Amino acid sequence: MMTRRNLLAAALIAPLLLLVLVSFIVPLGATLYRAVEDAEVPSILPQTTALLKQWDGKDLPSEQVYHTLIHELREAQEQQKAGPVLNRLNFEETGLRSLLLQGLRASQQFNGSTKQHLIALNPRWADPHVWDLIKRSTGPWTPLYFLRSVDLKLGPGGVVVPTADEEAVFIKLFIRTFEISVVVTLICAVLAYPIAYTLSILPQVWTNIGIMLVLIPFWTSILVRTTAWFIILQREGPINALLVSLKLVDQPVTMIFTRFAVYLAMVHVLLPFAILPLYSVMRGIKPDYMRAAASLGAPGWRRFLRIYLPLSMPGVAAGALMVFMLSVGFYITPALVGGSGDQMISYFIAFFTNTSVNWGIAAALAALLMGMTGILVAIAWLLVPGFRSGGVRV
Amino acid sequence: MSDPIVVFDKITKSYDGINTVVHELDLSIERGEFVTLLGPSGSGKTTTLMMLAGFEEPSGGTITLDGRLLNHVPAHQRGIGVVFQNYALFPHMTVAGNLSFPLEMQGIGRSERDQRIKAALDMVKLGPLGERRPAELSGGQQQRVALARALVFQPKLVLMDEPLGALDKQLREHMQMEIKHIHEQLGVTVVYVTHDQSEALTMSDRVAVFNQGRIQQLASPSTLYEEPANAFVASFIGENNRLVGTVVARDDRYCQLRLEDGTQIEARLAGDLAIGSKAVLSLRPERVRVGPGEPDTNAFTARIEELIYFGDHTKLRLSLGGSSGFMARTDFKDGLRDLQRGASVPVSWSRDCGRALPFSEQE
Repeated sequence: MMTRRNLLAAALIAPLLLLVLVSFIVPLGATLYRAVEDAEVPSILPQTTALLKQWDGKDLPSEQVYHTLIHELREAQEQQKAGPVLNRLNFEETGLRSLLLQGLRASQQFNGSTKQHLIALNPRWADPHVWDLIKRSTGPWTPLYFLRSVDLKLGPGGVVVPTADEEAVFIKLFIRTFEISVVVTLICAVLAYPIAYTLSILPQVWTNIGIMLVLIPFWTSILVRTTAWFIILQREGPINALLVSLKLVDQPVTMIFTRFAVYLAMVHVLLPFAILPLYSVMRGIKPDYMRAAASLGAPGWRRFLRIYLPLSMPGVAAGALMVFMLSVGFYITPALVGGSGDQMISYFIAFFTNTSVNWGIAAALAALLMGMTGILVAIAWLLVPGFRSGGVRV
Repeated sequence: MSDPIVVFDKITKSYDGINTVVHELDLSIERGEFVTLLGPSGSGKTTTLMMLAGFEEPSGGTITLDGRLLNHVPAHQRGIGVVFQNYALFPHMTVAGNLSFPLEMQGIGRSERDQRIKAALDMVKLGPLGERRPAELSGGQQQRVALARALVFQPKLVLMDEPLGALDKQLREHMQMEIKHIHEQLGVTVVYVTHDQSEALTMSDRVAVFNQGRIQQLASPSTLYEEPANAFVASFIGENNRLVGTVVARDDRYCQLRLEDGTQIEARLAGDLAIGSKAVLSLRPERVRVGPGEPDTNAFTARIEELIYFGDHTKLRLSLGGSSGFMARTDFKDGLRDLQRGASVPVSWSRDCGRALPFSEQE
């Protein structure tokens, strides 16, 4: 009897587990796997990979290694498979691609020792570090993508060193992403609080109208709302037209492609996510609490600070958490209304996925973003009162 | 004894300007008194309490506390303790934090606060529970905390809005006694709102019976019960038989009523009733003797329609004087044990127990 019930319970839960598995665990695992996988060089240059495994890493490799590398690369190029390898090696250190392409082009005329020809062609071929870089790309795992996501790389001898300043973009990008998210979250919380409070004390008819006014934009596509801001804020847009016609400004004000536009559009898109949980929490705060506080001698501001604010804190926390989580992953809004200095991490994840086709770094950035967001939320969970219940009052 | 602490003078309250919830209410509460506002829901008793607490403003009239006009004094400056129906304990604070709140608002220093919190918790027998959260307490314990919180800042006046409504019967009766003892011990003035008449009778010095925004009667519990001023009070306080008839004869103290089926009943006059006017006989079921006994002024034979067993007594629904809803109550002292539905029994009562009240059309 018990077993049948257990089976039934398992069968009822199974679709949910499957959904979590397919839609969450598997993509997450695949992303993490891509962030550390190193398959391009071993799969396309298998013999070079095998030979380099035996190389001691101190002296220059033998003629056989030079020859095999160029031979395998040429074969790959003829089959149009050299791209990923060259990309991978160039990501290890910028300049490796041109060094290899130069060698490939010249190798048509080589007769005799490939090693000597290459060294004659470019003295870098006499630098064991170049071979060190190639050997490092022979897999099967690499820390490269995670290191680069935090502006680090492996220097000579496998020591972790900071990347060159012109390549060190990712930490700045993470800081910018969290900065924009925190500012948007704070603005949303400050704006949502009085709105939700007003909604919670209005007569029911007005509350319903107010909630509709919050929900209608909420139901509208983010893309549509962002595009609307794009139109409103542009140089020839209605705001500038108004300002100029009122002679408040001589020249149209630059609003589009600024941080201001990003904040404005993101706050607009995300505000309902802050208002709705706050409203539901505030609606549940019985007026008797405030009456009790008054009867116990507390004037209005002390009632607010000591009673109402703490009781509404779970709503603030739930709303802020929602807004922050969504902000961190924002892509389309900054991409449309922000300038080049306002793009967030998702923009670069999309760029590495679609444009430069470097899934390793895209995966590493995505994994790090998730990890950092998790840590920040955990800190908030420990520090912010009311956060733990996540909007549910106990 | 005339040292009123609270005086309501022609207090009127209307939320919409058309319907009055409280109508020209006059009420004077003595210092140290336990006054209960009793009435059905919507009778205006809670609104009256809310106006005294400062949560509602009167539409007309004045309220004074210790001679000070209260009408425009905000709630937090009134210094009146309030116990709410659902306790309204602050859920994010401990029990001690809840008790500390009013003391902090008065700017009382830490050591005195701790001392007074401890004393208040001991008073309600919750000494060791100061560090608990309200949600971790039982309903009865929460009720005690609410009581302690309303008393800890030593208000002259404490208001209680159906404070025992959420408790089960046994606990409620126990808490009634405890509140009564605390009231006697502290000498604080209490205004208590309830719709439970037995609670009002057991706890109060005086009871104000509310109906339709007016005080129907303000009197001690025994006066209310024995000498209800009108038919509403008579039926609201305790059980009551009401028989409608016409006055056919009267002297200074008694009158003869003839019911519609011709039955004649002698009763005490409880209002000025002219011969020929319509009147209501009000008679408590426990005043009716069931079974043979010394002949009383009013003696009849009635048919038993229904028997309701209560353990310590039995209620009988009888057919008498053209009504089939005449209630009588017997504890079998009169010896009748084998009562049967449909049987006839002798019933009787003294003419001093039945009260003849003027008949009013609205009933």
